[in-house]
Amino acid sequence: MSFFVRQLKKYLFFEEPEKLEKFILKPGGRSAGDKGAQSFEKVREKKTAESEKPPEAGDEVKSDIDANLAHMKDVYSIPVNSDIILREFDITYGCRSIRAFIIFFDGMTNTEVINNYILKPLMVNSVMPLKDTAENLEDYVVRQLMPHCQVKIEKGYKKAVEAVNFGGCALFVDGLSVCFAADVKGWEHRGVEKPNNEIIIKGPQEAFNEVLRTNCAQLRKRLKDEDLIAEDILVGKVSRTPCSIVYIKDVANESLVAEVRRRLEGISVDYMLDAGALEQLIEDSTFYPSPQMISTERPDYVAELLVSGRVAIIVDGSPNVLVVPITAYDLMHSPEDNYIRFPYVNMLRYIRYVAGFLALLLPGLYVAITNYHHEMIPTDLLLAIEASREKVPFPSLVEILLMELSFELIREAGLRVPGPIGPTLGIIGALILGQAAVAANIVSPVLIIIVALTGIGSFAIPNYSLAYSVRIMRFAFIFLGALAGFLGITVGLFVIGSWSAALKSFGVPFMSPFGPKTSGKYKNVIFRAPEWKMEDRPDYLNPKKKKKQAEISMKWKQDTEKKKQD
Amino acid sequence: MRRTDGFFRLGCCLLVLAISLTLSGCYDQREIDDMAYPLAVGLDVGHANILRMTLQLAAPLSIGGGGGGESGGGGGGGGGKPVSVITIDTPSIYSGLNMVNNVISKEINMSHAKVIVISRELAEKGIAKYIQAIMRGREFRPDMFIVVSNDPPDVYLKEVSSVLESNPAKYYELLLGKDFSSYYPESRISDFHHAIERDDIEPTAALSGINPKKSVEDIDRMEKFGEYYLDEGQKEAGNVPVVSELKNVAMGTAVFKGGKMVGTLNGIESVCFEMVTGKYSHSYWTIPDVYDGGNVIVLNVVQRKRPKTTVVMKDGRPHITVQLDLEGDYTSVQSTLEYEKYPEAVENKTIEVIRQNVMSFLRRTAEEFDSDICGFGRYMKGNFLTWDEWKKFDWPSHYRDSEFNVEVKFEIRRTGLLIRLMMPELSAVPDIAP
Repeated sequence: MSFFVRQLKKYLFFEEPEKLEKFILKPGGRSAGDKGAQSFEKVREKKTAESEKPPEAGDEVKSDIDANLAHMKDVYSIPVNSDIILREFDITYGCRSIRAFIIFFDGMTNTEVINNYILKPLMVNSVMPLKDTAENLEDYVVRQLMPHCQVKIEKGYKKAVEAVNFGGCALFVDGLSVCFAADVKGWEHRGVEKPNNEIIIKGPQEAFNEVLRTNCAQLRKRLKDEDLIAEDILVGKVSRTPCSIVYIKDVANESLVAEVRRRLEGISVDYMLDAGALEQLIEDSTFYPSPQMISTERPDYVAELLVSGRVAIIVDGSPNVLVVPITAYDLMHSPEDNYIRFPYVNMLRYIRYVAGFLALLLPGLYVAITNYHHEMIPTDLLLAIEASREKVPFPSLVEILLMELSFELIREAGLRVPGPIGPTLGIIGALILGQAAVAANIVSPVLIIIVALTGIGSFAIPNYSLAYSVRIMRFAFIFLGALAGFLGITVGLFVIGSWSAALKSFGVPFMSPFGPKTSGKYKNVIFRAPEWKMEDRPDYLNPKKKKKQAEISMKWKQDTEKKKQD
Repeated sequence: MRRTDGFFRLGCCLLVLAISLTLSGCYDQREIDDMAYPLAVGLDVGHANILRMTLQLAAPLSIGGGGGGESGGGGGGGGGKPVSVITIDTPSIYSGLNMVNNVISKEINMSHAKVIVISRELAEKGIAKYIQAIMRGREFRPDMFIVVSNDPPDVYLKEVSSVLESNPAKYYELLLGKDFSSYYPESRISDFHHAIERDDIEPTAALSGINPKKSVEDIDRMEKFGEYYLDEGQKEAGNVPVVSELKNVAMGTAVFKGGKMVGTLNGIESVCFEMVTGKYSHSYWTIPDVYDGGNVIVLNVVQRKRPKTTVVMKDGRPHITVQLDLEGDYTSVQSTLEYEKYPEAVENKTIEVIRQNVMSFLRRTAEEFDSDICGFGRYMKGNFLTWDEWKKFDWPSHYRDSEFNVEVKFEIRRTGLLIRLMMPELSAVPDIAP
C-alpha cells in the first residue's frame, strides 16, 4: 500500500528530477557526460596506435607457408566454400624460387587487376634482372614487384581475413611472417544515378549509391575541403560493416563528433546491413513518432548540412546517409530550398506547413466538428453534410476510419504492385473505390474530399519518415477528436508538444530554436531569409565557426554604392 | 529502479488521461444527421398555453442536395420544400423544444437558428423574459436576427420563401444582415438583450410582414399618389406597393421601450435612425429638383464619417446635437440644368431634406415613443463622475424633454460616369451661377 502512496505522491507533487548524465552539446567541444573527452588529436593518436598494434598471440602470420596455407584453408572452409579462390605460385628471387599463394573472393575482386598487377609482376617480372636495392624479400615484393596502389603489410591473420572479406587479395610468401593485403575491390554495384525518392526540379541530380567510398567521394567532390574528415568505424561484430562518420573538422562541434563516435562504437550487433537499422540503434527516443535524424539519398543536401556543422554517417551498403542532429523544423526543409529563389522558398515552406497541418489534423478536426461542434460549420455546409450523410449507415468515426484505412491500403498495395501498374492502381483505387463507396452510400462525399486532401497533404511533406509519423498520429487525432472533440485534439497536441519539447536529438533540443529560444529564429527555420542574410550557422549546433559568410556577402553592391558616393 | 519509476509514472499519466477522456468524452457526441436544425423561431401569444412557438426546420435533403449517388449530389435543391414548419402552444421556449421532440424524430439543435420572429401582439405585451431565456441558452447564437412581424409568426414562417437562394438560412442572413439598403435596421438578439438591460439605450428590431398583394391590381387598389411623388421610404412593411413571389417584406423599425414594443418607424425614419447611430452605409435619396418642379434628382448618399453627438443638460433639459457628415454622387439629374458645375443648390436642398427627416424622426422617438433608441444616454453618461450619480439621474425619464439640434454636412463628390450632359439646351443654374 505504501508503495502506491509513494508513487502517487511522486505523481502528484513536483520534485527536482535527478540529473542524469546525458549528453549535452556544449559550446567549444567538451561534453558533460564524456569523461575521456575524445578530442580530435586523441582520436588520431588512438587510431595510429591501433594500426601499429602487433597482432594477438596465436594470430601472427607464420613464416612457414604450409602453416599459413592450412590456416587460410581452415578459416575459409576450403573446399566447401566455392567462391574463395586460392592460387599457389612461385616467385623468383635472385636465383631462388619461393613458394607463394594469393587468396581472394571471386566476384568481389577485380581479376584483371589481380592478373596484371599482382600475379604478372610476381611471376614474370621477378625473373627480370632488377636493381638489387631491396635488402630483403619483404621490401623487394612491396617496393619493386607489386605495382599496385593499395598494398598493406599485415602481421596478423585477422586483419588479413578482414581485408579479404572486404574485397581484398592477400598474398602469403614462404619465409615471410607477414602477408600483403592488396585492395582489389571490384564487385558489381550500381552507378551514381538520379535520386529516386527525393526528386527536385532544380539543383544537382546525383544520388548516393551503395558503395561507401563512392559516397564519401560524392561529398568530397562537392565540398573540396581538406578538413572534411571521413572517419571509419566498423559496426557489427561479424559483418564489420564500415561506417564513415563524416564532418568538417574545423566546423563541427568536437563533442558532437565524439558522441556520434561513442554511439557507433557502443553498438553491439552481429550484422549491420543498412542505415535504417543504424538509425534505430543510435536515435534518442524509440517511441517518439517522428524521425530524429535526416536520412537522405542526396549528397548535395548532406554537403549543405555538413557545412552548417552537422555530422553525417555513411553506412556501407546503404544508399541513405544519416545526418545528425536535427530539429523538428529541419524535417520540413527540402534540399531544393537551397537552389530556388527566396520568395519561392517561402511560399513552398508555407504550403508545406499547411500540408502538414492538413495531413495531421484534418480528419480529426472533421470528426470533432461533426460530432461536437455543429455550430462551427456554416449553415450551408452543415445542411450539405447532413444531406450527404442521410443514407450513410455508419457513424462518422467508422466512416472516416474506413476511408483512411482503405487509403493506407491503396498506398501500401501500390508500392507492392509490379512496375507500370503501380500508379494506375493508385488512381483506380482512389477514384473508383471512392466513387463507388459514395454511390453505395457507405461513405459521404464530403469525406472523400477530406481523405483525399489528407493524402495529398501527407505527400507534400518533404521528409518521408515524417510523413510516416504524421500518418500514424493522424489516427490518434481521429480517435481523440471522436472522444472529446476539440478538447481531445488539444490534449493530443499538448501531449505531442510536451514530448517534442522534452526530446533531444544528439544533445540538441528538438524544438530549438523555439523550444529553448536561441538566435537565428528567422534565418532558416520556418521561413527562410535571403541568401545574403544567412551569415550564421545554427546556434543550437554550437559549431566551432559561428559564421559561414561575411556580414556583407554582396561586396559588389557596396562597391557600386561607394562609387556612386564618390 | 529509476526506469521502472519512469514507466510507472508514464503509465499513470496515460491511464489517467485515457480514463478521464473515455469517462468524460463522448457524452455530448451527436452526429450531424441525428439533429434537426430550425432556421427560424417564431414566438406569438398562445391560445392553449402562454406561448405559441413556431419552428421552421431545415429539410437538408432538399436544401443540401440529395444524398448519395443517384441524384449525383447536385448542388441545387433536390426539389421539395426546403423547410417544414411546426407550431406548438407551450408555457416556455425550452419546454416547447421538449414538446416538439415528441413530433419530430431528430433532436432539435438551435445552433443554426438565424432569426427569431416575434408577433406584434407579443412584442407589445413585452418580450424581455423570452429574450433573456434565449440569451441564457447555450445553443442559441447571440448573433441571431430579431424581427417583429405584423402577421402571426406561424403564418409568416409558412409564407416566407426564398427564390434566389436554395437555403432559407442564407436568405435570412442576406436579407437581414445586408448593408446596402437601409430601410430596416440590422438588429441582433445580443444587442437587443443588452439594450433591454441598459438604461442608456433602448432596443429596436426590424419590422417585417407578409405582403398581402397578390397581383398588380392590388397595387392599383391602393391610394393614388397625389400631385407630388411619394418618397420611397414613406411606408411600413405591410403596405409597400410591391408584388412578388417573395412574400416577405422587411421595412421599418419596431421601437421598444424596455422589453415592450411602443411603436414603429417607417422606412425613411429607419434610414435616419441608422444615420444617427452611424450604421448607415449608403442608399439612394430622391430630392425634388430645386428649380424644375416636376423633376427629381437622385443621389447616392454615403456616410463619410461617423456622426458626432454631444449631449448637455441645459435648464434641466437634455440638449442633443447630432452632426452628420455625408457625401453623395449624382445618379440621376432629370432636368437639363448644369448641376454638375454648380452643385451648391442641390447640396443645400439635400441638407434641408435630410435635416427635416432626421429632426422629425428624433422628435418622434422622444415625444411619441419616449424611447432613446439611438443611445444618446451613452453620451450623457460621460457627464457623470460616478455610477450612483448616473443611476440617480434616471436618464429614461429625461429623454422625453430632449431638445434636438441636427447639423448636416453634405457634399456632392462625383457625378457618376457622366461628367456632364452635352445637350444643346443645357443651361446654367439660375441665381447661383457666378
